[in-house]
Amino acid sequence: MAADRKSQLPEIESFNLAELDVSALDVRLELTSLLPHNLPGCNGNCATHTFSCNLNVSCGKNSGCVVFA
Amino acid sequence: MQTPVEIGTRPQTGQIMDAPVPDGCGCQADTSCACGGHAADRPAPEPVPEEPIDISTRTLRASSYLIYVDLPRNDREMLLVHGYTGAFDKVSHRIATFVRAREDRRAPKPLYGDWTPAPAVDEGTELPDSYISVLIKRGYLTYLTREEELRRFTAIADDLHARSNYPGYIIMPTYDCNLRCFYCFQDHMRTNPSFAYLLKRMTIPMADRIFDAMPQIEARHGIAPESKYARPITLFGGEPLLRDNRDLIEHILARAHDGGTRAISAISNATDLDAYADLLGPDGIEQIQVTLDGVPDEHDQRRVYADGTGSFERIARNITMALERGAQISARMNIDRRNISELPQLARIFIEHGWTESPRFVAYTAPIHASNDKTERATTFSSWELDQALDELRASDPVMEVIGRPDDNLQRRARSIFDAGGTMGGQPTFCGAHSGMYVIDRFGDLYACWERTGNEKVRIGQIKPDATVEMDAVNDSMWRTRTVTSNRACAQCRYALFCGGGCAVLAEGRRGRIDTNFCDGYGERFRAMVAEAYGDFKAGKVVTAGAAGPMMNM
Repeated sequence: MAADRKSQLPEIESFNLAELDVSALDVRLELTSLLPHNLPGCNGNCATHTFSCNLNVSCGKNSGCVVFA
Repeated sequence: MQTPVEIGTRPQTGQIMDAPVPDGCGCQADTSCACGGHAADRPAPEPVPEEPIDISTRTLRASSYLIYVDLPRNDREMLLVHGYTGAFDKVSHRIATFVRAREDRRAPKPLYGDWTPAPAVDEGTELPDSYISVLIKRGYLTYLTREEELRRFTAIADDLHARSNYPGYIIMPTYDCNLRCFYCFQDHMRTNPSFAYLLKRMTIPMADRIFDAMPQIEARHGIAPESKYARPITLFGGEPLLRDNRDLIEHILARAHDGGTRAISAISNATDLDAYADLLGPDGIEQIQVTLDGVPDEHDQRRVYADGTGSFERIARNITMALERGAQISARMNIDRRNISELPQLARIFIEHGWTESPRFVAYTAPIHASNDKTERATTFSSWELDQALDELRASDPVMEVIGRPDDNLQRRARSIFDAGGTMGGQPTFCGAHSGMYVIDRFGDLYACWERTGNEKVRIGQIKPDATVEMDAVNDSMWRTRTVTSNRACAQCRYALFCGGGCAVLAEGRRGRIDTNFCDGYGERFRAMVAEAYGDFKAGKVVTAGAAGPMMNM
């Protein structure tokens, strides 16, 4: 579970969930979700940089992706 | 409707004066890779070990992709960020020191102050297992060797690259432009008669041919014709929105609508935007990037018509009109050491025009790069230098808040993690030139990068007269395989999946090959922006709209 990877310890304050469970020692990991957005085609750097992406990737907006309507 | 001009003919290959770029990536290596160099630098693939790793025989070490973000005026705490898990954590100085003692290479020097001496590993083993367990789960500590972790990183980055590969289109109606800006990377096209053949306008039949070919391009990316793929379409040039291009642009917009694209974008100097007034807005040309290079007097020396007259007032009128029509305007200011001091005055002009009151207006800065021999390198900034110079201006004049720094988006993305979680990073390439961007010119030639257009030797493919798409396997591969794993410097870099490897064209300018790294101070920029975002978060500073970053890197 991703939530298990968020620290509750006093000297570590976690701000997010690490997307990959790297506690397993396999060199090749199964990607549990796409980074940074769990949407097809989005790597935060789409073909037109930011024109068509509203995912707060680099355009500062925060609604849904319009490439895949 | 205008009468279509002839689909342009151009000199035979042997007659073309080479554009000022080397063939391919300029690589001189003699390996078997397409350009002769990629395979040499790519970390050699090795078989993935199938047997479980026995940690009793392993040494716990700091991950090669751990980023230490020190905080100004805070020697008790530090932020840790992980380059491929995307973890963001605040840790005590004790924890940070424990981790740093397990580095097998020198950690980057802090931005604020210096490292305290790290204890030897055997002195620092007193951390409770619960902490060590969390540090492993977050990715900061690992039992993998450096080479094993490099292979893990390579697998992750290559997987991300393979998954995030959807097409977008940059249509270039013409290479012609009505301005003659001294720093333009296409300057030679308008000043050297050998390139005059480039300057004609795209014909409407060619525009049809391009749209007819799009399903074939999309099929290369696994997109079926029946899928509802809203094509991202941007107009670029030259100047795409020249007054005389109106009929062509109207046709392109209609074809885009027919394909399910609601609105398109444009990179325009906006001098003739009034000719497109009725096409601007949420269902037409929705987003427009316009350049203003200083206050009117300065701008009018830089962005001039062929007869030397300035363009500021005309552009300003058109920006006001476009905002009123519902278009989004991203005002770009190309900055060097000679015009930066005028930015506060320019910000006041933005306010006086009422533009900053519109949520559809953003203004940002970008450093001028020495991309032709008319630009003096000594007058230019790196992105990091520009960030710092703008910080100084902001500190002395609050009006500068309406003008964005090159890395404001980076700061915003980090801030969103502190506010609400989520992730950033996961970017195996710098831009769409290495994934799904297709730049299409008036000849139907396909290019990966708009800064490498107009020279058929570097095109990645072409659209034939019957609208079939023919790719150039060598050039296509050269551009599309440039990722953070295609050179060893990036593959071993802590920041790689945040940075994407930097601009290929600038890397080529510096090292002669596109498959090299172009860092542009990214490590410093990243740490400074994350630290600033954390400071704003702790101070409860309200996130303001506007002053976002570039719509597009160019």
